Amino acid sequence: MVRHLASHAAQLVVTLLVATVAIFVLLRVLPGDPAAVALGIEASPEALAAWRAEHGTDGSLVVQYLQWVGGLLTGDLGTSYVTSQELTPLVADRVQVTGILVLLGMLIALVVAVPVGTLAAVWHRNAGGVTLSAVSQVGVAVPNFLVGVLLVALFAVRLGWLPSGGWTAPADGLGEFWRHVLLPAVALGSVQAAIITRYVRSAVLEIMREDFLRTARAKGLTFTGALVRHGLRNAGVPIVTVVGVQIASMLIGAVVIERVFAVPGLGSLLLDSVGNRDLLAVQSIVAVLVVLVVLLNFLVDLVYTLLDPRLRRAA
Amino acid sequence: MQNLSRRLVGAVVVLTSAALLTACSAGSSSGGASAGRTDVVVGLTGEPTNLDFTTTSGSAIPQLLMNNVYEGLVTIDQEGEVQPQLAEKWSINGDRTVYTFTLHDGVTFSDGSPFTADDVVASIGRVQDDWTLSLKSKMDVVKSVEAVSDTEVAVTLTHPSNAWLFDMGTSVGAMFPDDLSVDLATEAVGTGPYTVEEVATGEHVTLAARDDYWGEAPAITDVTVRYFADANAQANAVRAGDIDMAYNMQAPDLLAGLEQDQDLQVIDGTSTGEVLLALNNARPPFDDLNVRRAIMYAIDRKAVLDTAWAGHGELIGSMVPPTDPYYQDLTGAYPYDPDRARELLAEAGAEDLSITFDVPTRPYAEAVAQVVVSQLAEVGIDAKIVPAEFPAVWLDKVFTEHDYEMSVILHTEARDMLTVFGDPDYYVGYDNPELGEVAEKADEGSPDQYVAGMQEVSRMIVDDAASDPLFLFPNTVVADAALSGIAANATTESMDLTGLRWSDS
Amino acid sequence: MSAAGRRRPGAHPQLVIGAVLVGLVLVTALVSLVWTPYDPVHAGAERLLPPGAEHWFGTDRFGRDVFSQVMAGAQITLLVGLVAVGIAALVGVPLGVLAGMLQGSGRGRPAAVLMRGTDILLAFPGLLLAIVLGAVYGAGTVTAMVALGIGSIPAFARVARGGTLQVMRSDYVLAARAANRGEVAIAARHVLPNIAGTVLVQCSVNFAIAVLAEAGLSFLGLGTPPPTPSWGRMLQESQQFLGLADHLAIVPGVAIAVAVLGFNLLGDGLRDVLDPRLKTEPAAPSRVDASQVEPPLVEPVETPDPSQVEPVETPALDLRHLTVRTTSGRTLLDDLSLRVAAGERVGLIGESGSGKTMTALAALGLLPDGVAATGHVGLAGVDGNLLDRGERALARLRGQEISMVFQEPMTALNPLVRVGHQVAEAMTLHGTDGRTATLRAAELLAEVGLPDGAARRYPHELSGGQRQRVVLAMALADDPAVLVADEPTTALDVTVQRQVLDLMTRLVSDRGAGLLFITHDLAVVSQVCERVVVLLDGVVVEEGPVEEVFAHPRHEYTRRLLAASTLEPRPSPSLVEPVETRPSLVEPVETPAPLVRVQDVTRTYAHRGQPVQALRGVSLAVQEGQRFGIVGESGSGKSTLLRIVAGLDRATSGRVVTAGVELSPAEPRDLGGLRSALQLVFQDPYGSLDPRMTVGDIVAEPLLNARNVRDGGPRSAAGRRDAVREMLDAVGLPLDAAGRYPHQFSGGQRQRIAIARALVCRPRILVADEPVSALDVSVRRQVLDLLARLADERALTLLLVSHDLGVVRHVCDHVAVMHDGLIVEQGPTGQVYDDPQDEYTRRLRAATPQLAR
Repeated sequence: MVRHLASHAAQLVVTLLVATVAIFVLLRVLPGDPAAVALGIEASPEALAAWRAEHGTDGSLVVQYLQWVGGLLTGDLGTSYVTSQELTPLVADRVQVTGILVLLGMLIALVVAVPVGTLAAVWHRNAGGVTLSAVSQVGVAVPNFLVGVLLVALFAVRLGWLPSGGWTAPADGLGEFWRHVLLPAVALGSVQAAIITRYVRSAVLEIMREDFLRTARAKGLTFTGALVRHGLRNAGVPIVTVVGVQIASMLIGAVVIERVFAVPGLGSLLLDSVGNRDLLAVQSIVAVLVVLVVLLNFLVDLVYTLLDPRLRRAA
Repeated sequence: MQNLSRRLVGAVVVLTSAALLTACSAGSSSGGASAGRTDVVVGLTGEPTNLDFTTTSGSAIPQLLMNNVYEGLVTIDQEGEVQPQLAEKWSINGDRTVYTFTLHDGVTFSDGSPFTADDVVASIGRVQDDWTLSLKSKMDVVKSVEAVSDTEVAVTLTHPSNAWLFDMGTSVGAMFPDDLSVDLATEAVGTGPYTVEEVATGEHVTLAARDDYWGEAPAITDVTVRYFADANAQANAVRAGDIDMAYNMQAPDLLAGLEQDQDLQVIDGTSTGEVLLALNNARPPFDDLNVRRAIMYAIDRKAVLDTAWAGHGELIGSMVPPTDPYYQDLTGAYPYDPDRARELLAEAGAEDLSITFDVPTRPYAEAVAQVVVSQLAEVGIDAKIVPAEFPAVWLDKVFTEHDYEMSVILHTEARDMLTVFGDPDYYVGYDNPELGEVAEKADEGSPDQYVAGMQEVSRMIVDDAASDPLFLFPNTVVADAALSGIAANATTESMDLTGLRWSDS
Repeated sequence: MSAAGRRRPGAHPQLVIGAVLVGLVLVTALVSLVWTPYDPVHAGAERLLPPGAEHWFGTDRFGRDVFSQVMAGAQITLLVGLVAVGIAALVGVPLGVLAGMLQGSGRGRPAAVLMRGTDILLAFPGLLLAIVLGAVYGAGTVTAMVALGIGSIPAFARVARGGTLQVMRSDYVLAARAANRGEVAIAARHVLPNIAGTVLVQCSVNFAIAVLAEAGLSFLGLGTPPPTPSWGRMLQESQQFLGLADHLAIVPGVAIAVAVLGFNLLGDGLRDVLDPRLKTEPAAPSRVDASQVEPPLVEPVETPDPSQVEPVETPALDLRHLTVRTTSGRTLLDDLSLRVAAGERVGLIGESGSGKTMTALAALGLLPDGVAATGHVGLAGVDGNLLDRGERALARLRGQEISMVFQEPMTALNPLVRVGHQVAEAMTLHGTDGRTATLRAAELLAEVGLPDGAARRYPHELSGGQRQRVVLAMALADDPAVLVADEPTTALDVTVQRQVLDLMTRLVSDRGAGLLFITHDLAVVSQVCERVVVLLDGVVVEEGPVEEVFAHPRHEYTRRLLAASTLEPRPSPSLVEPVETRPSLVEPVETPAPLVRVQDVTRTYAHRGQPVQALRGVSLAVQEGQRFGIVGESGSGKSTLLRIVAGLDRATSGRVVTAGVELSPAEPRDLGGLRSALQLVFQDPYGSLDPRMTVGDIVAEPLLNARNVRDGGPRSAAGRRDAVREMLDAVGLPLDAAGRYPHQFSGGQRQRIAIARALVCRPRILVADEPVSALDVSVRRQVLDLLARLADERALTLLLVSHDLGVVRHVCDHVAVMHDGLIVEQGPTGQVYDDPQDEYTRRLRAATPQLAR
């Protein structure tokens, strides 16, 4: 198991290394001189040169890359060229916002999807199951921003129950936090619920064909009992996979919901930074996102080993 | 069977969403107990990237800070008139080249240091020396600045200028402490009634009233300015009552609905922002006067305003908004006449003209562009929209490189006719040597001569069809009905919050 | 999604609806290229008109016709989807196939590097790429398409790799290799056609993802720029008009939903249609075809109803007039009556598909969905008919009164739960408290012969035999009155089978429980049971005490079954000289050079980083014309040896020469000559034939490589057709078989096809790896005799591997016994069989069930 994890960790490092190079190379061909954007359109050549020297964008690319990665390793993302802000606390803040949103969205999705998907599988022959799958099929087809727009229109504008957007960190008041996080999390979670329902359904259908479920019934469990005691944990492995993949895609996909609800998340920061040609910020945000995605995959691997003893083999 | 049930579910989903959408139209509720409130939440689009307008271009920073955090010797009021601010009064010498300002006593900066004549000297000097923006040229006319006493400053101009004093009411006239030791990008040190309390990037900026403000203390002590990346989110927020005032609303089609709402007030303020259909005069095909005039005739500006911006805004016919002293009505110069446009194109030998149209990625620009393209198609011009990400790509490609044929952009700066058309190296590429002479004379002349001269300049530009000022952008404010003292006219870039108060009723 | 429902023609509602919706989008996009009611980008009408006669879907804020815009928007949607999916598939599929083929042929390291490379892309979701690429190259349709395409490459690579690995593991790829086909030909003829379905599903799913992503990008202003209509942007622009002009949101919203739904349903439908589990279904009707070659064994039933005949005691299990039908009306069991007295051991025998398992499942109330039983199931001490009980009431009986042991020990246990807990659960479910159950479970596991601490193990940590003991312990935990065992030892090695059978017999008699023992193996029945019931096509054809039925079978089917089960030894060949038992000691002075020569061969695998020795120094020599058998249990290394001799694997050390071709690890290899000299027949007739090729193409495949075709062999298409026809005839298949597909044939027929393929280019050596272990008894004999006959007719050298001593004795004149990577004994079959020298050989022989007559 240690060996297994070590090899995964090594892969993780290589992946991150290649990814940072890719990010760096990709972003260094950006049109628009960061100095010109930072200083304004009519800055004098001297001012531009001075700025470049100050921010180290005139050195060789290799040196710039090493400086950047060195900063990343020590947790220092640098100072934004454009906003002159320290990026580390800013990005950390945004990771928290998007993280909460995504995890809560996923939680909502799972709370809905696991029972619904299981029922859809168990009832796969009758009208109830068919209806549940049909609803989840349609749910998958709805863009999440449309859900967001409709939620705002109904709950914020029409009913006035909840704010139309914005964000309050949990530390600044739990009540306000929940009021602000509810609609975006539901918007984000609802489409995920539909997606995960489909996976739960097929995973449970698969499990229902397994021999060991029959064994469990042969020793005296009812069908439902066997499914709950022996089926669901086995269905967990494919479900964990899809949850991992979906969380990774939600980290960036949440940007659309962040826009609808004016939530200051990581994706919004990325979009704004791209708009401002805040090169260093873009580079660092993308790097942070990539790290998060890669770590998430690592985590999913870990959960596998916890769920499935077959993967724990020391070899 | 399964087939049928799927279809039914589909139909149900469609119907529910339709019902939901209709439900939304019924208006909203907001407001409530507002009396006695001393805080306000303002919603804006277009977030400042930092707090330093001396090195960062764009209107977002002065919009937030001017008059609220920074003040000038003078300010521009809601009618566009110059009014005293930090200067109690001023006098002008006989040949109108020396301005002597008498400063208010007891003014302090937010860092506690007193505001004196030395700060004025330093601030104007810094514009000339340290600013990196093109705006700094507005101080080129200043020959010298002298502190006559602690409260008296004499500014000597190289030549009389009617524009200079007005400019002193804009961001270039902002007063900073002479011993500036902070990073202006993250800290603002001004003499205004508010200080910047918190900057939460991507979210909001909060302003707090100063206890030691030299002037009349504002009624509102806590201002939160929330920034929305999306105009609809801003509109939703004011509809839902999450913000008290949506300033410079960019979703005009929502206004009709909002106007019905008893709890809200909708004010179309004027602005100094002209939506300009910019033609590159330095390049074919728009180096040909006939082609440019054809464009003027081909475009139904009323229709553009009505379609793209729901009729909110004003037709101006020139680069001069009605709040400027030298405004004249030139809207009749090129009536909508597609036949005439086709004739002119034929004269120019430019039938079947095909052009590219660089459109910045801003809602107003995309809306305007789509109408313009439709109208140009009517006279046989095939305009192909090329999106230019704003600001980065547009500034780079169109503004700096002049690599474009036609574009559309909102010029927000006050009194910018000469900025845009007076310099052949500006991106519009309009080169009329005669114009410079007339303009210079006007600037140096008496106020009456100034008005007459500038009107002549304006007519010359319109006559040459240098570009097409489509309409004056409205500064639309939607606010809680109980909020008063809203400075809805954006006569400069500044959003003046100092007069806001909650009415007691 | 019912197995029965799916097979009805046109019963793929998802596929149909999906195809219709996708077709709608497609047709709309195509039509809009040449016609839309109005110019979609021209602002020509009054703005914000509601839907009406003139503008069906109304007009937008610019006075453009929404219907025309939606039509034209379909173009962008399809374009984005097509290009994104195209990029992803064109890059991802070859990468995945390459990685899969590399790994499938043992080059795991480059394969891993390849997959790691694409995995790095996983860290860049499409939307992130689109934003960043949009910043670099400007946002727009092209950027969006490319970014979404690149973002999906890993998904395609993974799917393609998975599919390829599966194909590469199949015996038909091995057969193609053995037929000397190049890697490119294998990729083109076998891999791509077989993964095409999965890739198609992935395309459909990714299409849906791309459509949604494009909408999201347009919403962010990073999608298709105006004025080109795009559904996402239409939706984005509609926000201002919610409540004012809802049609602006509804129309593109529904359009997106329809497209996404369409592609998703299409994907799901395709997945269902292509489900491999369903692909094998059509084999069932082939039993009818089988009658042409395998003469009908069924005679009209004329035996009296056995339930009338039996002496009636108080039966522990009493099945009366049990009839089981599928919902589609097929009868699986027809009026079956059967009794098991307390303490009695009854064997239920029959071939696959005869209804044995259905009987067992019906007795426990575990019939699968879509199958229903009528009649009577009675248990001693339980009132009424079990068939009338609900699931909850049945569950109380199961385990307690009647329990069951299943065939497949590898899948019968929950892989995630320790076995002790699984055994204990059988008791806690019926009221035993947890602590007692845990203690008792440990005792039970010890009683079935598992080592100490086995209770803490997970199923995967146990061998197949051990797992079956766990299942047995579980089934007997509550001392049930009746134990039903469904082929409990079929998946086990002979020696293990013997132990488990003995154990089961002992435990059942200790407890005085009744045993219903289901098997196809008559020899096993004769060892375990007292009474036997013979089942044919759901009908009981004969019943009685084992000795009596086996000695004097009354029914024709029983007679044939008995005859087929008896593999008499091959008459000692007079021509073949007995060779010394230790070939390493043989001094090749006069004997001609052996056709196959193996000297001191070892083979070591790396399994999860640990070296595993499959062969530990094996030597043998096969003379031309010999029929050489290799016997051993699973894991003995016999298949590894076979693969090395056939050039499909390489030895780690030692010397191998086959048909004059040097295969030693140290030497360079030229397999060309070998392939024309040696061909293979594999164990699993279901996996060794490419399901997507016709039988004619399958048999002709070895002929496609010119090097396989020896002088005078067919070189033209017509010549190949003739050769195939001749070969099919020789193996006893009808001539029209050439045009049909493998799934239309029964197992025995498929094995004949495999033999035809192996012999079509006239090899000198035929290697057969367990050629009959997957076949029913009645067919087994026919296939073996066919092999023997063809070996004689065609002067073949036969190398046959089997776990069954009887099979080898029936066919081979020479035998090598393998155990644990070594040859423990070899020599003339009769000698080894009758007078085994090695202890292991003796054990093997003793364990092999003998049909006591």
